[in-house]
Amino acid sequence: MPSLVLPTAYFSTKLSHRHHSTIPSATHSRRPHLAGDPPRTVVITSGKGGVGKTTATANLSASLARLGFRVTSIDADAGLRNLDLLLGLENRIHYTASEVFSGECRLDQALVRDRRFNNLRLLCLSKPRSKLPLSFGSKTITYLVDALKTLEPLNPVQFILIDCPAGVDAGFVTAIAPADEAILVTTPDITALRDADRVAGLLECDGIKDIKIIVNRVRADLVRGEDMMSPLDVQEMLGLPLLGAIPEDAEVIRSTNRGSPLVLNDPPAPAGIAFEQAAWRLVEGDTMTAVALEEADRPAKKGFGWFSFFGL
Amino acid sequence: MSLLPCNPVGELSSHGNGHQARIHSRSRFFSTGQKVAVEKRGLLSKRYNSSNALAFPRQVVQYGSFISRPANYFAAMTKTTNKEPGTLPIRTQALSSKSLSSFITPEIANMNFFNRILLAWKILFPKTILVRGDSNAKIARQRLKMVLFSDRCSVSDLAKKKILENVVKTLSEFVDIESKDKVELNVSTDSDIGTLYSVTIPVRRVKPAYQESDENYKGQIVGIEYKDAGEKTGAVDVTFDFYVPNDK
Repeated sequence: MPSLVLPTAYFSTKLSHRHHSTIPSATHSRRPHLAGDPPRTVVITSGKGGVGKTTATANLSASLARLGFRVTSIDADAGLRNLDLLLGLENRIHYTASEVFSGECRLDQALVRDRRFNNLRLLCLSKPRSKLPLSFGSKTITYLVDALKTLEPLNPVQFILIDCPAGVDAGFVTAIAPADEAILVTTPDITALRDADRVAGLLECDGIKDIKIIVNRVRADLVRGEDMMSPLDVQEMLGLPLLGAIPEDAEVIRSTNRGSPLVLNDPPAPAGIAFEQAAWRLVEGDTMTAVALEEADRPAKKGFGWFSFFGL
Repeated sequence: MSLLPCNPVGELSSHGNGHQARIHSRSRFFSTGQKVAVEKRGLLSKRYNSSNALAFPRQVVQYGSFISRPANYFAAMTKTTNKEPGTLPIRTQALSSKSLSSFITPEIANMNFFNRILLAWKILFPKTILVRGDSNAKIARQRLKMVLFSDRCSVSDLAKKKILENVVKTLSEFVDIESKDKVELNVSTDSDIGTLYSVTIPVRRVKPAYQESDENYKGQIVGIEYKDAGEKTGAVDVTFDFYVPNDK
């Protein structure tokens, strides 16, 4: 294992010296130890739409790239495309995988390199307004991912993150075909959890046994007031290991509008820190244990403090 | 909010809820004004008899500092009756009085006046504790459990029929089944175990080959009662259950 890691580390540090990134690189005292055999293919799915799959994909891939790993993100939604918006690369996509398959370009031309990180690439499956929508099947995308794995033998990709479309129909089946691991993104509400449970069952049927959860949009105040289920409850309900619990943060919206992933904020936002930790755990193959939130002290109300004498 | 000055704690219990309700209303009156003073005086005249003469002013002295307008009134009262130096303090007096009810524990009696007000307030206006069962998260958890169990373990009709057939076939090796039409399969959820499949089969009797030995089956002991009649003799009632099979 150490011999595998060493050449990659050498390459990535060389690259970072040559190209000065505008974002201050995260100074990690140590790098996470890569568990599993590279390249690791992870599909980020949820079932229910709008829970934060694309946000999670963008932020996890940005975190991984900043940690020094070679990452390729695939937006596996053939009809609607969103991952490029979150990474800020929407103007630079000229070729997609459908053009690769129709022979108009090479695969490496379709990979868009992120302007901040050299080791982050984005691949979109198709252009939304293409006149000949090429329907992607499981075999097609598996072939594509295999080609990506062997694209640069000197500098092989270590992580392939696939952003799955919402739903459990053909698009979902296509997206999970090449994956070995899955990250199930869910919010702590009952609708998302039901769908997440269904998706977990489908993933297991399909052969993906390594499923981890990210609980997104956790509101600590509602959890404390017993209005929202806590990440611990979610973990108990679904029975899957927890990769991360991301708090609700307005910074997500701002960073989406800006086109810069949340984890690159300086000073870091709470959600960004959580995503960073989740990326770390993903690399090391680790999981977190959710703890019950403790009751915080009630702030003394100004001017009405004496009411507290009477238990109000 | 001076509820209790007119009513020593020992008296609080003896009148039940109606009395407490009156205290409640009086407490609100205290903050309004002149009307209060009239009513208070009336109560004071009732209470201020020989048995409580000592009790009342001592109590007044303790809280006198907290109240603004009524304080003057009660301060005036204290001046008149604070002449007996060698009397027992109110607390021990209250303890020794016969009308003390059992809930006035020594701890309550020894609390100072402000804490007693606090206690009375908490009794009268109990803080509505958020019951765990009513919280939204708890409700959501229950619903989600039910939904997940039913989603995960919903069996198709074909599977149900096959399960029943297999179970009936296996069971009919050992028992005689009453009627095959009455066999039922129920899927239910239990919060502890999870999904429960229960197959209900009416059984007529166990097949002879698998019955327990005949001697036992002829007379099974159902109950034993020991009856002690006297010192030397005793009686034991043993109840037997006889089953004589029809087709023998």
